[in-house]
Amino acid sequence: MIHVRKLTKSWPDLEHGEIVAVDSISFDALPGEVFGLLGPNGAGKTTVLRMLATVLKPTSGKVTINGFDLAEQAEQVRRQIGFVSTNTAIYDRMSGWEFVEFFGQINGLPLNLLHERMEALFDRFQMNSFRNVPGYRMSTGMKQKVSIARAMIHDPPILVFDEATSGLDILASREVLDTVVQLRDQGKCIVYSSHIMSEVKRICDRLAIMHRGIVLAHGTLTELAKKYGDMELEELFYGLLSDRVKANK
Amino acid sequence: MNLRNTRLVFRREICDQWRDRRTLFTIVVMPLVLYPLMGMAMLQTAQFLRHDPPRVLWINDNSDAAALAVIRDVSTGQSDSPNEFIIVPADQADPAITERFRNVADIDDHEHDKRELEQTMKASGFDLIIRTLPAFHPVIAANNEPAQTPNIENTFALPLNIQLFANSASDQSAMAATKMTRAIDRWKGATLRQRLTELNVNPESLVSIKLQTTDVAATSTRKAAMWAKILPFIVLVWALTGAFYPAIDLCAGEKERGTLETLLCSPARRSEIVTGKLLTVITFSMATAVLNLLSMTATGLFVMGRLTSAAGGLPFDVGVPPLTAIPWLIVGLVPISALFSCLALALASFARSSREGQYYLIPLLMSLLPLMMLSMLPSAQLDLGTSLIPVTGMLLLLRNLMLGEYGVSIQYAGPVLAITLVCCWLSARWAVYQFNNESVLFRSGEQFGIAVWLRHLVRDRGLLPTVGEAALCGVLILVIKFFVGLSAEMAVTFGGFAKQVIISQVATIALPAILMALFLTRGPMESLKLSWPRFSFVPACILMAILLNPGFMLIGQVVMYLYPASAGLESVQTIVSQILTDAPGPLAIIAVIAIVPAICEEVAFRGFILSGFQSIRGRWTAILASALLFGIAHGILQQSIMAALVGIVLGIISVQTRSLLPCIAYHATHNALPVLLSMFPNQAVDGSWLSLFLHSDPTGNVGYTMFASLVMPVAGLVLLVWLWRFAETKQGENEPVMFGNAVTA
Repeated sequence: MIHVRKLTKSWPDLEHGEIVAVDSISFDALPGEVFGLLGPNGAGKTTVLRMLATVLKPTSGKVTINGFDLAEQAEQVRRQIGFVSTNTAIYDRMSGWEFVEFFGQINGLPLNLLHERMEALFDRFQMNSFRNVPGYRMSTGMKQKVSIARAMIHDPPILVFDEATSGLDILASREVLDTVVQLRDQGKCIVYSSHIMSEVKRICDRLAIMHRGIVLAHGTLTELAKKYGDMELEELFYGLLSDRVKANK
Repeated sequence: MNLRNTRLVFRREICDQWRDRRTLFTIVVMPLVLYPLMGMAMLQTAQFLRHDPPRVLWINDNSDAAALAVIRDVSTGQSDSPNEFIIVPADQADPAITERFRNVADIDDHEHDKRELEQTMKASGFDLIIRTLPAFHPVIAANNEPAQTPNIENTFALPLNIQLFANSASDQSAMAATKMTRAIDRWKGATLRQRLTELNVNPESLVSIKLQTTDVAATSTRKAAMWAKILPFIVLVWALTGAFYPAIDLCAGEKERGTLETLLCSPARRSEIVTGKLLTVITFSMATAVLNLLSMTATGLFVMGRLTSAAGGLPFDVGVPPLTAIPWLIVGLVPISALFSCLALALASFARSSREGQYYLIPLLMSLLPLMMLSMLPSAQLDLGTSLIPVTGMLLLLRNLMLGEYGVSIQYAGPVLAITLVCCWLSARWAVYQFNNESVLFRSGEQFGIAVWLRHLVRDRGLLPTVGEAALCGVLILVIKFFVGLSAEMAVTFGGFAKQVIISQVATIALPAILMALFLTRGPMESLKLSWPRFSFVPACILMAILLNPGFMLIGQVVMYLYPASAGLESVQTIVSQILTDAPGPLAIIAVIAIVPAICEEVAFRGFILSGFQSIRGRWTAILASALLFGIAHGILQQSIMAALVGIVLGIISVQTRSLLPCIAYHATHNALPVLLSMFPNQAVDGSWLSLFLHSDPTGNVGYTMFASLVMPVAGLVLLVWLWRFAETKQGENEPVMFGNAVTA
């Protein structure tokens, strides 16, 4: 579903000349699974996901999403993806209903189908109580629900969540995670990035551990545990990162 | 482009802005409230506007009957008001002043006397001091003027000397002095007529010319003329303001709030998003301007009517704004709002936050204001030249339409619209480019440090200059040229002129480019395009210069027709021509006029600057940008236009041949041809085959025939196309061979 090969992204930088945010990473994410990107802040997770969402252009590498080439068919790629990120905010002066409707229309849905889907989504995420509340009056949890509804309105086969529970309380976080699991069970391909170990452990079928733009390890939780001596994910994560830091020194 | 997506984005943005209280305040509330409030304030203020007569201190001599008569008549004046001036004799107000100044000669020459009078005026609240001295007064004698013996029978014939002391730093004082001068002139005229009558001379018989000026303009046209200047200016300022704030909110504001990324990951293309946002900004720009216009007109109709009838009224009769102006202003507003909106959107998308966006408003306003102010100059008229100046042309067109000058307006509406649309297109391209540039869209709040930047320049220098370095080189050349030009004096001999040209070309144009290539790039040779071209390119370029020259001469004549040379420029050209006649020979002139500029300017503009622009942007952008800088560097408008056009041809040659030598060959030939033509013996033209291409006018000057002007450039263009295609096919075959060893470490 998602095939990433030697994906690289670098930026010109005044102080360092060039910053390589993502350095030749490769992975696959398949339908009906949650692929996790685990890494500390600044690991390059958001940059990878922004590239998958076609917001950023890769410096090099090849990515195909549901058969479409990321570099050549950006518009088709965007139709295959629902992207939820801390950076994809909602409009302050629009209600949740208007917001989701707008993105449904942009995705080319006919109005009757759009409204049918919106009703279903608003019921599913219990958003009817605040459907007419403007964005600036919503809580963080409400905004995140609206964002997820926006990403799902065109029923994309792939959903990308970038730090989707950031800033949410326990209840709201749980709701988001439950939604991700439900979507996975519906056969969607999910890419989920986080720096919270417990979340990744709970929902991800396979994961890649990233640090400073490179993938340190990847595989299922069982494979990783087996490869690194039956370590818990948390220990494994710290172990890999410390090794890397030592190697850099 | 999917118009449906554009419409959706447009509708959303309009709805969003409509719900923004700040936008509503700026666009709707402010115009509707501002002008009525201003009008009310004017009406209120008008009640307090009293035209108090100026207070004048008269340093007098009460025994002087003539002075007393003048002062009495002048103070009452000829108007209906009881007193034109309040004249206070100094011997009553301040006897010390009378004593102090009655007999002082040459006050004009003594600073301390003038300071004392200034202090007196300030301390006692006088606007003017007047000193009257009879003709036989000792002060007059002291001034070395012949002391006139009073003739009792004809004392009225003796002139009375009146001196006015005014403080030009005070408006009140300056106005009082003007008013007093007029009053005294009136008095002089009346007295003269009276004296002539007493002498039985008809005053009319002394008048050789009776001048009468009659304003034939209809009252409505006269009043419309003032509004025709003011209204378009104000409407355009509001159109810019109305475009800027929504643009900031829709770009920088969305970036800040994180909603831009939401939109960017939707299936809508960036061009669709930009177009939707642009249409929104245009709508708000127009709405702001139209509401301001309507509110201003309505207030003007009401307030001006009341003011003219109110007691005191206004010192000038401006009348009410003409209603016919409104439709024309609205029509003219469409393209100009589009232009302002594109510029505002491009700038706003560059800003990281709304706050940063606000900083860009003033530079934008300051760069557009001169174009707006240009149309308000008394000598500014709508003609082909001014119609091709962006913004200015539109303002002049609107003024003409408001004045009912439809013939002129229709004549120049085409060029005005064309240049406005070209500017719109360019700024829209800029806005789309900004939206496609992720380093602009996702700029973080990096701190800029000089030390870090300098380190970066040295450490990260590339083989070729960057776009920024190329632009910096261009700006440096312009700045150095400007200051050198200010300090240099016009040479009077050929030797001095040659020295000036060489120093100026080497120091201000070539040297900055060479130094920047040496210190800021790893490949100075590649940066300056110092490579060996194919042998055929050099003669081909010389031939091309010869073939295109008549065409450029023809364009030059058109440019001079559109923008005629000023008297100053003509005199400079005459001086240069005279200097050139002192040259030791034609070779010396060609060396100074053609070869030196060709080498220096090519090193800078087609070498360093073009390489820099070429390193990232497309070759056409590089060619046009370097040609534009080359044009601006010539300083004089007419020369700049021609240089920019020649710069395009030179840019093409440079890009395609990847060498500076063909450019130098073309440039030198292009510069040398007019010199050679001016030296060409006209006898050689007449009757020979050359008469097909050259002709001599009655003054003996040799020029191109119309045949040459039309046919030779076509052949030149064919050659240019050949060069383009030939070089294109050979582009990948081999790398250019640099002079000496290329530094590509």
